[in-house]
This record gives sequence, C-alpha cells and structure tokens, in this order.
Amino acid sequence: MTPTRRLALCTAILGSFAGSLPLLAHHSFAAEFDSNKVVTLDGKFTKMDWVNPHSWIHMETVDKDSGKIETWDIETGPPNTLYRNGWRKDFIKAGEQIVVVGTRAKDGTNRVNARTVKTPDGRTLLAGSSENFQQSQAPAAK
Amino acid sequence: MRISSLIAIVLPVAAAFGQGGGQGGGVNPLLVPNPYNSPPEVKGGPVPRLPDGKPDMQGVWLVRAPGNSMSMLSVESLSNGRGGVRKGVITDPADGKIPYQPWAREKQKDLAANHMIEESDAHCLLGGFPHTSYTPFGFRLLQPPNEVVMVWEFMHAYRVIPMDGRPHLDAKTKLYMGDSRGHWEGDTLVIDVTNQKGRSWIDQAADFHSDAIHVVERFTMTDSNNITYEATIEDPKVYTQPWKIAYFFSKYNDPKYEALEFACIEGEYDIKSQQASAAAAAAK
Amino acid sequence: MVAAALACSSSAQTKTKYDPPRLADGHPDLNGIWEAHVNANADLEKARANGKPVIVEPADGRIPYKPEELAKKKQNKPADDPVAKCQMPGVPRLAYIPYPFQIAESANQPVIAILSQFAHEIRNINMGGEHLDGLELWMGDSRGRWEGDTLVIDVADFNDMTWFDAAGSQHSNALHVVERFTRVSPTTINYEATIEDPMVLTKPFKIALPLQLHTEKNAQLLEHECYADKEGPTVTAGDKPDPGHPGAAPKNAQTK
Repeated sequence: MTPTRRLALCTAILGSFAGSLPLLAHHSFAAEFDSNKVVTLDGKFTKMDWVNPHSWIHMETVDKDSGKIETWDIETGPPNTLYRNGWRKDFIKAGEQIVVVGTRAKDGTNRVNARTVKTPDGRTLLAGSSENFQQSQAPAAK
Repeated sequence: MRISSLIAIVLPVAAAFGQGGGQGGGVNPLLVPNPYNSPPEVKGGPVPRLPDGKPDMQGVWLVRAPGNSMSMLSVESLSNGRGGVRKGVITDPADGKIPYQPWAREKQKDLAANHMIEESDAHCLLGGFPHTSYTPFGFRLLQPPNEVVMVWEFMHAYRVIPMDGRPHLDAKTKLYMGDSRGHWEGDTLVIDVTNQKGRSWIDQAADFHSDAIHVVERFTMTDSNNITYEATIEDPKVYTQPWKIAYFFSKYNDPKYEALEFACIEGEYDIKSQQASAAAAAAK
Repeated sequence: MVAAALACSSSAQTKTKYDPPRLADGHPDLNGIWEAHVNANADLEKARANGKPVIVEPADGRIPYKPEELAKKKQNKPADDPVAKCQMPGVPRLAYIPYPFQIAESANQPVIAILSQFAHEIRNINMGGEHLDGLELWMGDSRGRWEGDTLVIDVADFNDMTWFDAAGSQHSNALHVVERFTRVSPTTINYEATIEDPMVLTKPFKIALPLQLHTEKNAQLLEHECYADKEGPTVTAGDKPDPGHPGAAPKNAQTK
C-alpha cells in the first residue's frame, strides 16, 4: 500500500436505499410518536445503546394482570445531551428498576420516546427528547 | 465532568448567554445547550477585535430561532426570532416559501410523502449549506491566521474557510460540505459556498437541491453576544429565483462548555427503527 | 548556559534548535495540513520512519500484548478493521492513516482542533480541564497543554472499538495515550505517542514518526466520505444486532 502524497478526492457513488414503504424521518418527533399517548413504564433495565443520533434503552415491564413480560425500546436524545443531563455510561445496571415517562409510537409498537427516566437511586433525569414538552413542563431537577 | 461540576455548570447557564445577564426567555437551564430550545437574546458589549482590527468572532454560537432547532423541521416553518413576533426565516420571496420550479415542488411533495427514508440527517450525511448553518448543538468558530474555521458538534461537521483570496476548487469537484471562500466586507464575514454535491437535503422536510446550488452567507457580529446571519441561496436547476433567509446566533459564554463527540456513524439504528415501524404499520 | 555554549562550539556539528513561527500567545504555530508518509496504518510493527522502527519502545519493536490478547489480535480479520468499515480511527491512529489532517490553532483559544480528511473526523483538543467521567468515546477525550514548544495531549475515555492498525491491534477501554507534537522544521512535526492499556498490554509502548506539511499551493482538505458513499447501512455499535433491537421487527409488535 503506497501512502498517498496528494490530497485524495473521493468520488461519490450515489447509494440507493432500499425501501419504498412510507417512512418517517426520525427527527420528526410528531410524525413518529404521539404526544397524547403518554405512558409510564416501571420496569427492569436491560441494557442501553449509547449511539448517535439517538440512544436506546431496552427494558422489560411485567403486565400487572397477565404477568406477561413486555420488552420496550426507549428512544432518548444523543449521548452528548444525556451526558449534559447527568447520565453516565453504565450508571444503571442490568436488572435495576427504572421508571420511564414518555410518549408511545403512533404505530402502537413497544417503542417510546422518553421524556424522563427515574434512575435506581431515585433521580429523575431528562432524556434529551426532541419533543417540545420541555419548554413548558420540565420537571424539577431532582 | 463530575456530577458536582455538572450542577455548577447548569445552574448559571442563563448567565452563559451574556455577561452575567439575567434569566433568558424560557430556556430550561438543565438543557442548555439544548438543541431543541432557542437560547435567549442577551445584549452584549462592543464587538471584540483581533490585532488586525477585524471582528473577533471566536467562541461557541447557538442558533437562535424560537420554537425549534432549525434542522428539525422545514425551513419554511421556522421562526426568525425577531422580537417575539413569529415571522419565517425566509425573507425573500415575501410569501416565505421556497421558490421551487413547478416540477421541483412536485418532487418535494413526493419525497415528503414517500421517501422520507432519504432524510439526510438520519443517515448522518453532512448537510452542506445552508443546512449546516442551522444545525443544533452549536458550533465553535476559530480564527487562525488567514482562515476561519467552524466546528459543529452535530455529527462532527467542520469547514475551513480560507480568507486569502484563493479561487474556488475546480467546478468538477463536488463535496458534501461544498467549498467555502471568505472575505470581509467591513465587519461582515461573507462566505461564498460552491461545489456542493446536492445529495443532502436543505432541512429535514424533503427540501432538496441540486449540485448547482450556490450560497452566499453573511455573518455580522452586532455586539459581543450576537451575530446576525443572512444567506442568499440560488440553484437555477431547482428554484425560480434566488431566495433569502435570516436569523441570529447567540454566543454561549460558559467557559466550562465543551463539545462532546457525536459519532453518528450509528445513524442506521434510527433507520432500522423507522423500517420496523413502517413494517408494523403496513402490517395493520 | 555558558557550559552549553562551550559544548556547542567544541562539537563537530553545531545544531541550532528550530525556532518555530509563533501565534500571538507565544506558542508555536502548528497550523497547516499535515500527513504521515510512513505506512504505520497497515501494521505498526512493520512500519519504519527514517530507517528506524516506528515502535521505538520496547526495543524489540513489538506491541507488548498479554499472551491472550496477542491470540485475540491474530484472530482479528482485515474485514473487521473499523477503518475499513469507515468507523472512527481512534488515537493515535488518526495521525497515521493515509489521509491529511489540518491543525486549526488560534491564539488564546480554549480548543485546538484537528480536522481529518477521513470521514470528517474531528479531535477537539481541550486546552485544560479534566477528563470526562462516565463516557466512552471513539476518539477519546483530549486534554492539551504546552511543555515549552511541545504540544502534549493526554487522551483517555476511550471505548474499545478501534484498532491501532489494520493488522488487528486491538485495545480496551482502559487505553490511555500521551501524544507529543513538536515542530522541528518548517515542514516537519515530530510526533510521538506513549500508549498504555493495562488490560491488554504488559507494559506501555511508544511510537515516533514525522508528520510532513503539505506545501502545495492552495492546499486544502477534501473529503473521503466512505461512510456516506456506502450503499447500505452497517451496524457499528459493536454488538451484533440482537432480536430485541429496534432494528429487527419488535418482538411484541402488535398487528391489530
């Protein structure tokens, strides 16, 4: 392999993305999640993916009536926003209890856009949501 | 940053938008720099100057357009932040709409209805200009000798703007961020952007453009805390006329602020999530 | 001072230390587009600069892996190289991938920016402050300071996702790197890095190589947007996609 001595120019090859389904931009909160479908999920933290542009929490709840275990995928803001709101990597351990307040996906799947997350040590942290609620309804810091 | 220092940072954050000024309008201190809220307008002092007399615009700047992070919605639906009155950022044409050629308006509608999978931020594609200039999470401006450098936290975009009068790159060279050339007109930094690819959208609402797009941006520091921004956008393949946008930047003065990594190569998680969502919806 | 002058005058070769151009704050001006023209990116252990191994310590020129880590390295395949997948190269590798990078340094500013042509990578070198607590980053968290005319950068808070080279040299999230940038001529920065990782290495190792200034008229960075130009998405967050991930059809998808 010869190290380049000149500034390299990359020629774009237009990629074609599969999918003719009507898909919604993830940043369009209003298109994907329903501000009126506020849910509170009290359950066990499984794991978290600290990725951009949205991080994801995976958790389990137990249906009070049927005892059935439900798994949820919780969308938060990106790691930089989480970090500035007090989140730290691995600060919640698998199996610990968390409470997520957020809005449910319009398509009814077990996906939620998180507004806040109450951690095992009792703090309520903002989840960096792109939903507009924060301007008027931000909860107390702790 | 340890938790205790994080608290120390966030409490005086409204003061970060001025020289120890009072509470800004409606910004939750815990969220700043919050990409989804607009910082307050805080009057500053005289424009600081570099040794050569030019405005010293160095520091961290956040887009000020009340209501939303501009990159999140359509350029047509955003506010320009002028004194509480909600007017669009598009100042020309007068109707506040992007002056698409008829075929292009139809294409935009089709993209919005049927091809949102191509939304370029979701793919972590560099947005080019003017898109990157209204990106959330702020940018840092540096003025090394003979250049202006802008570094955005969002998907770690950057551009280097030579101020030495060199010509643009050959027209055949196409870049996601285009090719920027800067010069001063009085105290206004004028940046001429050419050589864009045309693959990214101009916002997140299917507003596309071609590789013929040509943007002229004007940054004018009106005081130590405020920049007035204007841009003229032309693309003879897509628009019937050049159009203009205008809004503001607020300086973020908290000395403890640091940009964090925004890797964004994992953007495909969101795409897969969308696909799963669409599949579930289609199955109903 | 006098002793040094005598030593200099009696020496067969007198060498004046290079006095670099300086910014208004007195620090050396490292602005420019730089590139390593040594092939360290392919295999650090085989790389040579100015006739000497790039790995200057230990003396055998090998990365001092623990035996089980060396076994892991041997199983790493070229296709899994994060750089081949257009993921972030990490540190110190950004300095010697075969793409130019620009140092953006302005007087009295809290950040020196390193901007790479490879996938628009950025390193924001914070001039002061402390490492982060509880965040793992591809490019680490960089804290810079001047020691005389050398820019010393202390880098920590790494994830374990990058390799030191294309030969599969992995590290853990305990990686800690200290870099030294010294401009020794108008067109050369001497780059050194001490790399320690108590989880995978038996001891630290050190590399040294020259960075050369691009002196072409109107030189500027272009773009190598390998991620953008790929056809399809790739999973990049480390774990293989699991059935419960939003990427797959949700287990509990309601089809009512």
